[in-house]
Amino acid sequence: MRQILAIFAKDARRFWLEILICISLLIALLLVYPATWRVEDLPVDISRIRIFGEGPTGLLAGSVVVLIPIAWLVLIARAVHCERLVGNTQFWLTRPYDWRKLLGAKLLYLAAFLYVPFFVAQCVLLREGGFHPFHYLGGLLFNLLLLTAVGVLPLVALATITTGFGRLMLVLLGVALVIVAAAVANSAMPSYVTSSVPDILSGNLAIGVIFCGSLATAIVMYGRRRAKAGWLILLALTLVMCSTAFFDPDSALVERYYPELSSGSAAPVAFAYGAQGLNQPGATFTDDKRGVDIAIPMLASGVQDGYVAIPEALRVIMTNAAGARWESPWQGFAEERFLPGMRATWVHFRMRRSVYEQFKAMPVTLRVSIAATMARKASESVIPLPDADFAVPEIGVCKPTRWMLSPDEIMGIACRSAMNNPRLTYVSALWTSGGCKAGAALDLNHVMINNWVGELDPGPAEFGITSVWDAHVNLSRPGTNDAERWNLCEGTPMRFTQYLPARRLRDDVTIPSFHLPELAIGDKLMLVLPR
Amino acid sequence: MTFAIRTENLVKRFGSTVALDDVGVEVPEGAIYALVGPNGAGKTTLIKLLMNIFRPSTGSATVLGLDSRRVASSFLSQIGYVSENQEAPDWMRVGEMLRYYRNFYSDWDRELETQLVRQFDLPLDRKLKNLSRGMRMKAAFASSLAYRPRLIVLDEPLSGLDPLVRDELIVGLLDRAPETTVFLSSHDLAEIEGFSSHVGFLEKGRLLFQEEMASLTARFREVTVTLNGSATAPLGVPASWLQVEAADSVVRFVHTNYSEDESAAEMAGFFPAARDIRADAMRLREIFLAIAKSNRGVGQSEINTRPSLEVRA
Repeated sequence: MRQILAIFAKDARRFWLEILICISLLIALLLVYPATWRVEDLPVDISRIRIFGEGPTGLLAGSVVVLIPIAWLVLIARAVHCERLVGNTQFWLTRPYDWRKLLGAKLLYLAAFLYVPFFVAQCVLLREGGFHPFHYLGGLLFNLLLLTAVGVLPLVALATITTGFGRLMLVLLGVALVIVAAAVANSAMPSYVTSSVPDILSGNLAIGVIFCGSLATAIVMYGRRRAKAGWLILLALTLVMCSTAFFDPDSALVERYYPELSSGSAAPVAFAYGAQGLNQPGATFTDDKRGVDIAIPMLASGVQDGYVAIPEALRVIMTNAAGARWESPWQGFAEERFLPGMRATWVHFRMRRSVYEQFKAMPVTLRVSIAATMARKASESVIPLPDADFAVPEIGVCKPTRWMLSPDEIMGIACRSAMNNPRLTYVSALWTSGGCKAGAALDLNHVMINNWVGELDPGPAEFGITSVWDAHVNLSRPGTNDAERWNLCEGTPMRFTQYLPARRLRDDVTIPSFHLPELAIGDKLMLVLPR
Repeated sequence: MTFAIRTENLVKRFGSTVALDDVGVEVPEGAIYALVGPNGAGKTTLIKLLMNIFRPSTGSATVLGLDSRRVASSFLSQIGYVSENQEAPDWMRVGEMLRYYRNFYSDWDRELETQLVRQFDLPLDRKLKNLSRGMRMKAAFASSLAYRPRLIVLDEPLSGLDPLVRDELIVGLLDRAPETTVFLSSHDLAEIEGFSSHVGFLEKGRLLFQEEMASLTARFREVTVTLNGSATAPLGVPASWLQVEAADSVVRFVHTNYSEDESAAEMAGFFPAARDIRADAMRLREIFLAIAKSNRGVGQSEINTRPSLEVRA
């Protein structure tokens, strides 16, 4: 322990400036970030990157959020390079350093000057945001774990195989170039090949691979100082990560993850072919012009009371009378949620142009498999919209957002949640037309506005520098004059319905004698013409 | 005899380059062993193998009885290592560095530290990066001697230092010598001649020989034979004669296996017409030059076989 403390004290003395900068940035975050919650009159909902677009306060907070990881990078790199592991002339190599104690000292350094200040800052932010940190201990620790897996440990690993900060920056540049190259290669693939199915395993797998690869590199380097082995591990790690640009493991898992609906069971949502009137199938080129996007009108119904159905992926099997058969890979489903009742919708799938040409000539039988998640209503609360912050169960703290030019009128709500996006919530209210006049009675015309916010299964925490997440719910209909514009007013009852995941299922819809529609020419917008 | 350092058939390759080739070094405990050789001979590589900074390609090395591949961690508290190429914690002050190193050695002797600081006149409040080369080397010596290591390994510790600093370091080293073994490398023969007890000569990765210094200087003689008539280079000279040259009436050579009794008779028999035979003691530098030239095939002795230089530990 004496050795660990000696190395720790030495590093703390030597890198006092780096430590000071890191802690100062965290303090700046605590001062600046909560101010963004108090910004009034939001012009528009700019979603999750809004802190970069809300004037000087948002810009400042965004800058601090960007600077903190950079400061950490310097803090980590300097500490590791202080007893660098590559080379044969370092002062410590011939001293009785025990590698475990050296590693222990570096971990203690990171704990003292990165993890503990970050943890404290996250707790303070929660407190400032109106949340009790003790209730989110699991999320706070999970966030630290994510920080370790995707931030600290990879940086430590890269620092162990480099001789100095300059070299480390070059390696980071190389990593960035590899990522860009993989992304470019992925985007160059035809869109009918790439899948956008929901994350089943790939997200956790990627985090696990990065964590294990980085840990192995750090241990190999500290334990044996084998730079070649360290590089090989990181190279293998990079190749594995890049391979996910071309192979999506989630696509292969859809059938296992969404079991087939057993006979006699009710489908989460029943789809039926819904071509009628102007709603006819359409075909357009995909964005990359290498494939064809087919849109089929559907009627969705059959969702049980108290449930919401969320289709997440689809696969199409197409056969014709000549015996030709084509099966698509699993493809992502447009983000839609289906509540009880019947609703018209569109189902899109992509295919290779040659396949389209092959099957266009004669009617086909389409079997569309849809993988969906059922979520059940967990809780519901109705809250008259106040003029100030108000607590919403399972979401956090919300406040009305107002039109910049008409502060009396409320366009939606801005919510803060702890450690993550809120649980999937259906927000509904009744609109008031003609503006909210001070002192006037509410004039509800019973037109309902609704919107969704949050994620179905948000987990204990999502990785973030801030522990308080923002979510904006737009509940307005802009108009050019008071009569056209519908808004929320103070006192409007707001209904918040939370949903929890219930089960995942896969069901088929068969459309016999389907004619692939003609390709719309010249524009990707679908030209819908009755047959 | 026990050895503080022993290598057997030690080979180190860097790619296709053979840095050390079948090296067998034996350093007796208590010796001051000087490993000499020209630049690039493999001295630093050998030392880094002993310190487990490099790993042998084949062969083995033991340091204080332990396989060199296991020399690490707490075992290093028995070894003091100073190298001209070693980095130092430059951002530290001298006193801070000594205080820092104390934490790593259970046998750190505070009194000895104070004595060394005084002896080397070290400025405790100066940063290492602001010290002269000589002063940095003295600080390195102090930090490597203060825990009374059983073995002191020095890689070219004296090169480039002014004579005053060099003497100070040698005195500091010799003060510790009775309680330790010293293994040092140098390409400057003059600087190690005065205090080494053993010497090994490394060239192009091969250990040409190693021997106790007293024995080495005793058996090497520069022989001058003055003949009555004009001299020619004799044929069939013993293998232990190097660089046999003849000019006018004088024949000169280096006798590598000289002994008072036997060599006088041997030479008298070889040069019956000799008017005078003189055998002068040689300095280390001259001995090494003679050996080096012979090994490079320079000079007269090409007609001779290579000298049989046996290890005489």
